[in-house]
Amino acid sequence: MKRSKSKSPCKLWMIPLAVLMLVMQGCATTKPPSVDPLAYKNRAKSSVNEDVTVTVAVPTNSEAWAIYGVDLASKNIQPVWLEVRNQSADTYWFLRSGLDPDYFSPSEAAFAFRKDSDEAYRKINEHFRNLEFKNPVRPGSTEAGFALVNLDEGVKAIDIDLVSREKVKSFSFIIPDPDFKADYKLVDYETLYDIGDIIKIEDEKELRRVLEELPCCTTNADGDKYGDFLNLVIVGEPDDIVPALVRRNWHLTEVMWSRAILRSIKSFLQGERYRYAPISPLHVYGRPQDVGWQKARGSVNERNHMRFWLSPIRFRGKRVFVGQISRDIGVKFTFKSPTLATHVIDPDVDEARRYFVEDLAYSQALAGIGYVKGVGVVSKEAPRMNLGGDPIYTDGLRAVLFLEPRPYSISEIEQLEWESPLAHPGRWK
Amino acid sequence: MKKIHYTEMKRSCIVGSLICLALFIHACATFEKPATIDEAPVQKRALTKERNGIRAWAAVVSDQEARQIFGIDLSRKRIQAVWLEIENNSDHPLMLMPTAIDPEYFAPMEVAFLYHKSFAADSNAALDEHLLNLNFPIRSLIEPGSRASGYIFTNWTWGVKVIDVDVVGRGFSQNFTFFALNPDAKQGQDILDGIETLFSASELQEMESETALRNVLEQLPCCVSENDGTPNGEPLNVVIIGQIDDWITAFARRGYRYHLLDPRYAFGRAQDLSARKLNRGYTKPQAHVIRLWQMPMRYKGKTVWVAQTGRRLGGRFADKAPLEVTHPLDPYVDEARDDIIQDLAYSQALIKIGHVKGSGRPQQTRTKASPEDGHYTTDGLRVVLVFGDRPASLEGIEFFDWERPADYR
Repeated sequence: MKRSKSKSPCKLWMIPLAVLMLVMQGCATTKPPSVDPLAYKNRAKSSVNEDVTVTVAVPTNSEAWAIYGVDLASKNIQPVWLEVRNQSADTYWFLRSGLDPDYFSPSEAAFAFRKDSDEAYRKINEHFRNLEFKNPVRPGSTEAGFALVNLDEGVKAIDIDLVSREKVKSFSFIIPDPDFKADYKLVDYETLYDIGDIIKIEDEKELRRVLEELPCCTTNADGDKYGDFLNLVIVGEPDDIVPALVRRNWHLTEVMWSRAILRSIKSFLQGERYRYAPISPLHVYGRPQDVGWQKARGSVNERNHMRFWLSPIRFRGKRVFVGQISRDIGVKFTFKSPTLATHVIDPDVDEARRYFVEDLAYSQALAGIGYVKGVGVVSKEAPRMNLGGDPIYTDGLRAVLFLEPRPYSISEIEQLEWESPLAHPGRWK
Repeated sequence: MKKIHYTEMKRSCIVGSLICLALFIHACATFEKPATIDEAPVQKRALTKERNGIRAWAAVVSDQEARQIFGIDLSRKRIQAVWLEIENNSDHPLMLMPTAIDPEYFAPMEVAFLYHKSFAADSNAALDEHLLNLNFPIRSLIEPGSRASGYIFTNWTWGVKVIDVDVVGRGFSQNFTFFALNPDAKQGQDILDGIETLFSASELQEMESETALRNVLEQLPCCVSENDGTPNGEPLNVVIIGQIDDWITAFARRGYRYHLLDPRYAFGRAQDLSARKLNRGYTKPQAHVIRLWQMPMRYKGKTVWVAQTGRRLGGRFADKAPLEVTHPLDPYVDEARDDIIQDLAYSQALIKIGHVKGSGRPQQTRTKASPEDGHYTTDGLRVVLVFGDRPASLEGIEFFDWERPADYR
């Protein structure tokens, strides 16, 4: 796979496929699948923060159907099961907006499955409300229940924010969906590097030097062609990073795109905004990205996406991820792709980098920001080409973001006195 | 099924040919850089504020003005330009945060791409260049003693646009809020004037103590009415305390925009303001609406507003109806209230939360609303949200020691 950009399917060849899909949908079963409705609990994951323990699990689409009695996934709704065990002296509240800024309340979701009679609607409503997680979690007690969010198939990034009068506790989880195992290759960060290969750094100056020596760019699989610039570095543990991204509506995205492309077509035809459009692999450290995130905007053609690789560097015990971000601004026709279409990225890639810094500034997890030298200046007049044949240019810096577990407001963010981004072409007086 | 397949194919051929034809015709009208651009009317109209040595100007560019400044019809893609100027006489190098103005703002090259034409590389490049040059220099620091100006491309809004200008420096941030008018929609001015002049200074009741505030808020009417009659409609379930600049930007950051809704009546008049969540994200935004009335009272110098929030039955799954129609009401009205608290907790502007008795009814009473709305269920509480002008993290939010919602379940 040498293409650096994901392909958006061309309209013309999609039409026969669309018809096929419509035909297939017509035959879709409407009976709940026979699965164990409690099986998801066997896959639950727990996390402890002082005297509060959070356990989460994500039912598969068929388990959700068995639990709720209706096919939630058909309306792009997904339940997340949550248990909070509170052994502290404070009362905690779970904030659903942190888990999904566009979550569904039970009565809204129930409406999507209403039957003709009022009585049936009332019943389904009661059922949904009974299943819902109920605030607050009092000292010494345990609460459990579901929250209904927008569907992420394959793998789900989860942020559980609990607030009390005194404290905020955030818990993060990455939960794969066993039904979609084949499509995902979750990287095990623990086994990526041998202990001997880890570069431990305590000093800021040393960190800066090491970050400037990272590779300038991504490459193709053979490692003989440069792709997009590596313009991001995140210093933080997954537990600091995931909540920040989830709160700002970023979603994990898949690399394997055989199924995803079919989903793209379906969403295109149904006028939906597809969240799973795949991003193709680019390579650093001789391997494709460890994780891809995207934030879709107006349509399937407008999104920001990024790829990250875990580096062998640890700064003050925290992991250091190196990454690449760009902004898709539309679709162009191309003979380089079998589908005759590919995403166009904003050639001014620093814009996407700047956007990301700002987006995280509002996530409450950004504790510090600095810039270090990266690829070096690539001018607009003499741009480089990425692997998708799109021109790209940059001031050559990479943004380094330090993420912390405690919430930071925008005025508390520390700015490191390293490099400054190049002056923008705008107007000055 | 085969028949459908065949007609689909036939249609696709026709559509395909039409697209080709359209592309061909399109190619003729390429971008030409305006020879002269007249920004004077925009700048003259700009609103301005100064604080801590920083002065900001802001104005909405009308669709007509946009055509002559940018050389393209921005409104065709529902884009609206905002003009900004920042003069920095503080000690801090500053940076502008455009997502505060619109979380879904457009990058200049993205706008340009939307107006690119086939087979017109030169004019496309000229458009890129033109928009880049006019863009506000969002990526650079505005050094002490300097001024920067330019445009931010936002999603189009009707009437009054809330422009939240956030500038940040090292360990410092400053926020300015403007209510800027789109000159194409004059009605906006009436709304702003109405808010300014609603109460005279002598009418205002000043409160300093929490107890006094709580008493007053508990005495407010329980509900709105649909026809200026008896208050039997949706409950007045939210109280907002704060300067309008502070709380409106909190709503704006979370995707709320001014939206004219069907009238509801309280205090002898229809709502002063109304809003709903609008965004262009890939998921539909939560379908909550809010109607607000200004109160003739101040708590510790801050204005007090009473509001009704709810959601149309079915929310995002409701059958298609005009956005301003808000009934039938979802009978579980407390859900919308609780959702709004959580949403605003992430706005960095909410500083204190409390609950007071609202409709005064015990829990689980079914109240008769308007005939269209049928019954709804509420715990009878109204939430009190206090906003401040300094950014507050989740951890910085305080609580009034008042009613506990869990006791009303």
